[in-house]
Parts: sequence; structure tokens; C-alpha cells
Amino acid sequence: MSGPAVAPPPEAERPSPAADGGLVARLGSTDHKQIARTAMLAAGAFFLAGGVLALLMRAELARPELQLLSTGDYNALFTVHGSTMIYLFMVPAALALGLYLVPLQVGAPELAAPRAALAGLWLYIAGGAVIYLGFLTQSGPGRATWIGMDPLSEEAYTPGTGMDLWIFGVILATAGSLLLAACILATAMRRRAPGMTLLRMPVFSWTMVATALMVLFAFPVLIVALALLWIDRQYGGVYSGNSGALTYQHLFWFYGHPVVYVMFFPFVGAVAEVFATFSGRRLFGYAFFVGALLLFTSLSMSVWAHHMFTTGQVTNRYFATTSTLLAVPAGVEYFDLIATLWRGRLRLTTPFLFGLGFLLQFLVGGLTGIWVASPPLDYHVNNSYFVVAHFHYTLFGGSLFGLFAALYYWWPKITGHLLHEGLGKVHFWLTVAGGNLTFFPMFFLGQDGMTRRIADYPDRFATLNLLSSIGAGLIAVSVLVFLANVAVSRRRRRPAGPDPWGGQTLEWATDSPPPRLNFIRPLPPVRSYAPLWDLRHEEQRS
Amino acid sequence: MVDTRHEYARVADAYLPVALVVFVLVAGAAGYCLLRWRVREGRDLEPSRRHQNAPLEIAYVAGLAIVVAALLTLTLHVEGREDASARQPALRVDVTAAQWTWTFAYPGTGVVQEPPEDRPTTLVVPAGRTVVFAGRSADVIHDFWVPDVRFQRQLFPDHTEHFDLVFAKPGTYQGICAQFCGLEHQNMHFDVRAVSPAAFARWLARRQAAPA
Repeated sequence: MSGPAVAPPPEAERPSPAADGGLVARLGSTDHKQIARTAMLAAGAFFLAGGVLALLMRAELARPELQLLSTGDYNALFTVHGSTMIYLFMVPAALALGLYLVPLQVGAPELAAPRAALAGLWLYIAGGAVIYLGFLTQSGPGRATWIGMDPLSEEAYTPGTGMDLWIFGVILATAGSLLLAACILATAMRRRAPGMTLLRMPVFSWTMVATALMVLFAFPVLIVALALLWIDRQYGGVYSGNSGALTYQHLFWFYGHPVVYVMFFPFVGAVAEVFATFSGRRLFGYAFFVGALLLFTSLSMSVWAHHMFTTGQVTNRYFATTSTLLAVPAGVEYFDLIATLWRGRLRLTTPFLFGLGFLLQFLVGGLTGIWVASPPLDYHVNNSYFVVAHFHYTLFGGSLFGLFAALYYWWPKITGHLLHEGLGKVHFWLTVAGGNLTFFPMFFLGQDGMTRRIADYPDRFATLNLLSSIGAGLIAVSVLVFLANVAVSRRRRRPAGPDPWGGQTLEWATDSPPPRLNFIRPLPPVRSYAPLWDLRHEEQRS
Repeated sequence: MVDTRHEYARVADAYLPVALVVFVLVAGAAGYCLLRWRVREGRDLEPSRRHQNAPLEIAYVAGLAIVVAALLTLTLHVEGREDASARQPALRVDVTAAQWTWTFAYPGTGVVQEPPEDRPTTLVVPAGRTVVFAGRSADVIHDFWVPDVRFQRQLFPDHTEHFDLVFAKPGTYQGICAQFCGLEHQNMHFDVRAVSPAAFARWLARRQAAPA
């Protein structure tokens, strides 16, 4: 591994963020790094909570018939599990990653509008708390699925405060995410270092720009849809009439499909950085990659009704076409990722392994996505376990592998010390084994006619469900190994230095963790999207 | 007359091999890179400095677009066939879904199949004939799904959905509510009994004579 590009400054010039003050100072800090760390911790806590709910469900599903839970409890569990993983874990985690890294990658001393970001953080945490408060109400938490499908979510069919709390919680968390995304976008647009034109912006920052654009267009629609749902629950008359129920689906999925890419783009960007760094090459086909990303972003706003093929009320042919076309930009991204490995100098570190895992595991989700984008195929597998398998391959196989790739890669930057490589590899292989054992059988269950959101199922599905439940246990073990890695690394504190991996972008040109205003030393000149790579190769030449 | 099970197989048989080939190509390419260019003890490599190849990418995009266009053509063709309604269906059945039961009525005959105590309702249809279903919900959204014919349709409280189905062979199939609809969603099943047209006519006459 090549050493730091520039010698570290004297200790005195290096204010440590941890020394800034106590807990209150930290929780109220407008330093983007501190906001992002708090958001990541909160997202991590919600991930563990959502994971425990999933384990309870898989425990119930290990055998046919009801053993542990009532159907009512089960319905609450999958509602809160899905809501947690999307509204409270993966979206905020993706945005937190951007919040930490975009200012650093574009060479900015601070985030644009940091107070708005701080407000976003606390709106999000409050939203999560409000959803979970539902467990304390008499009726229990919301139980009308993470979609809040109308009319099921109406007062008549899902009475109780828990459902109202679910609506408020999702609105708050979504408003928080909206603020975070707006700050990231403003930073990338307005705070780039001298020399960094848009087409010299690092690819991860580009994916965050695309993500923020989707958030800004799609998330307000969810807020409005849910506010209307709450009004409907209190006074009625909103989602009524000839196509009220259909209108809710339109509004929801206008948010609900772009959000899928909000949970995908940042990780494809992270994996692109990881691949470039660990193959010792600049990302291949940068301009095509960015172009594909923007095409993907535009298309993502016009595919929502593929979630509604089976309503018989939408133009299936149009939405099948736009949805299937997504294979083209996705294919370009895959091409560039693999071409970056070609003739590289590959170092098989843990972040790189998770990046490879992302590539292949997400691919299963992507290919089955093309499958469900075909109405004749979706007429069968919609709402079945096939779809459950499909989106878990995108969110677990894709987003979560990508998130771990990002965490292992940037952990040294954020904390100043390295994670344990050996434990990281154990973590990786357990995640691969657990993920596939859990989710692959679900393709067959769905194909054979097992529908979603049921606590009990016919005996003929017993074997595959048992395998799936065992896999869920393995995933739990893998998460424990990751937590152990964090604990071990915190104890042994192996210092990372500014640039432990030989990175290519500006965040590696400053200390780990970066000082309050990110950069003390002058920034290296920015002549491409990989300024540190350029610097290294110039030094070699001279 | 469109056999949805057959149409599903047609599309699936084209999509599945493409998906498998793509997966093998990607996994193979990544695996090849790892074997060939991984840094090992006593072996160092000078990474390539080439970071773009526009003609290659454009050719690749063109190839990809052709595959996508081929898949889409098949999908749109089959989708058009499945969504077209038959000019002369052999039978019409009115479906009413309600939390958490199914009711099937045969208009013009007075025959209504209602849910028996603690058992799923039975939908009786003539095998090999086109049946047009007119489905509606009495409360929340339900979803009429018969996995064996590879077809489902959501049923709404505010309008009636029409769709054609053919049960090609005589037999008993399970029907399921595929849309989560509340507490007893998991038990909202029905049975489909497809019988020969002659047997169906006899059954209908018998039911008309002796209402349940």
C-alpha cells in the first residue's frame, strides 16, 4: 500500500472532533461529520431493531402453523420491519454516507446549510421513535404494511393510535431525509474546490447528486400522500370516489420506486470507488458511468406503476417498457465496474470483497427485476415470495453489501483506525452464506404459489421455509461478527493514517478523522475525478 | 382463448436463459479478473492506465439495447394477448371478495357459491373454455390469484375489474388472496374445480334445481 501523499501536520494544528465538548455539543454540532456519525449510529440501531423483528418473523415461519405469534402480531412485525429497513435504516444510512463524504470528496470545508442538515437528522430520529412508540399503544404499531395500502389503512379497517403514529413517524423521517439530501446536493453544486468541474467530481459524489435529485422529486409526494391519508382517517373524503384507492397507489409508488434507487445509487458509487482503489486504476468509463447514472435517474421517475401491473388500471405497456429499459444504464454501470478490474492490480481486502459481493448479489436482484418488469411474468409472481426474494436481493444483496463495502473502506477515515481484516472476511463469508440461504429459497416458494405477508403456510412449503429461517440465523451471526470487529478494532486502535488504502479522491488527502474544517493543508490540484491518483503518477514520473 | 399458464411459460422460457447467461458472464468476468490480476506473494503488477474506450462502450450499449428490445418485444406481444378480452366467452362469473371470504355468482342462473362454514368457497368452471370474471371487493383491496394459471388481478371496492381466464385441464386448483387485506389474510383461499363442459352444465343445472 502506498503511503500518504503529504506529511501529517504538527499535532497542534489538528483539533480532534471528539475533543469539542460533551454529548450535547456533539448532538447539536453543525459539523457535517458529526451529524453523519450520529445519523449512522441511529441507522445502525434501527437496522438492529428491524433485524430482530425479521428474526422473530423467520422464527414463526420456520414451521407451518402458528407457534410464537398471533397473526395480528405478525402483521405488525412485517409492517414495522419493512418501514424500519426502508425509512429508518437504508435511506438515512445512504444519506449519512453522503453527508460525511461529499464535502470531503469535493474539497469543501463545510456542508452547505449545516443547520438544515442537523434539523434533518433530528426529524429522522424523531420519526423513527414515533413509529416505534406504536408498540406502547393499546392497538400496537401500524399494521397496514410499509406501503400503508389504502383502504386497508383507513380508520375502519386499521383503527388505533399505532397506525396514526406510523403515519406521523414516516412523515417526520421522510422530511428529515429530504433536508439531508438537499444539503448534500447544495454542497456538491456550490462548494466544490477550485478546478473541480462537474465532470471531475468523484463518482461517489455523483451518485449522491443523482440520489439527492430523486429524493427532492419523490419524497415530497410521500409526505403529501401520508398527510392526506391521516386526514382521510380523521375526516374521510380524500381517497374515496371512483379511483381513490388507485390514487393512493399512484402517489405512494411515485415515491416508492425512486426510493429503491435512493437505496442503490450511493452504494454503486461506493463500490465504484472501492473497485478503482483496490485495482490501482482510475474508474473505467467515468463519463459513460455518469451519463448512465443520469439516464437511470430520469427513467426512475417514470417506472412507478410497474408496482401496479395487476391493478388492471395502468398502462402496463408503457411502464413495462420504461422499466425494462433500465437494464441499459444498469448494464453500462456493470460494464464500467468490471472494466475497472480488468488489467488492474487487485488487492483482495474486505471492502473489495464486499464490493464483489455487491456486484454478484445485486445482479440476482437486478435480473429478477427485469423478470418482474414483464407484465405476463408479474401477473404470477406479484405479491408472492418471488418478489420478496427479488427485493431482498436488491436491498440485502445490493444495498447492504454495498454499505458494508463503504463502511470497511471509509471506516479508517471516519474513526482514524482500521477494522480487523480477518474478522472482516469472516463477516463477509457469513453474510454471503446467510443471505443466499435466506433469500434464494424464496424464489421457489413464490413461483410455487406462496403469497407474502402470511404467518402460516401449507405444509408443502415447510422445507424451504426452514432453510430460509436457518439462513436468517446465519445473518444474525454475521452481524454479531461485524459488531465484534468494531469492538476489537476500537480496543486495538491500529492507526490508519490519512490514506491507508492508496485512495484516489480528496478525502484521503486529509487526516483521519478529518479536522473540524476538513482540510488544513492546501488541496492537491484537481485535474480529474481521481486527483490523488494523478498526483501519485506525476510523482512517479518526476 | 388465451391460456395464461402457457403464455407465462413462453415468456419465462425466453427470460430465464438470458438471465442465467448474463449472470454467468458477469461472474465469469469478475472471477477471471481475480485469477489473472490479483496481487500475490512474489508477483507484482503494473495496472493499466487506460480508463476509457468509447467505441467499445458504444458497441456494448448497442448490443445491450438489442437484447432489451428483443425481450420487450416478446413481453409486449404476450401482454397484448393476455389483456385482450375474448369476444365470446363461454361463461361469466361475478367475483366478490370481502374480508376474508370469496363469493362466486353465475349471472343469469341464480347460482351463487358462498363460503361454507370454515372451508374455502369452490369456484366451478368448465375446463378448456374462456371464462370472463367480473371482480369487485366489498371492503379493502383483495387480489384474485390462481398460481396454477399464473395470473392475478387486484379487486377494488370502487370499481369492477374484468379479466379472462382459461383453465386448460380439468382438475382442482388453489386460489389465494395475494394482496394483504388484514387479520385473516393468510386464510383467504378458494378452490377452483375445473370440470368438462358437459359436467359443468350438469353441475349448473343441479345447483339451479337445488339452491344451497
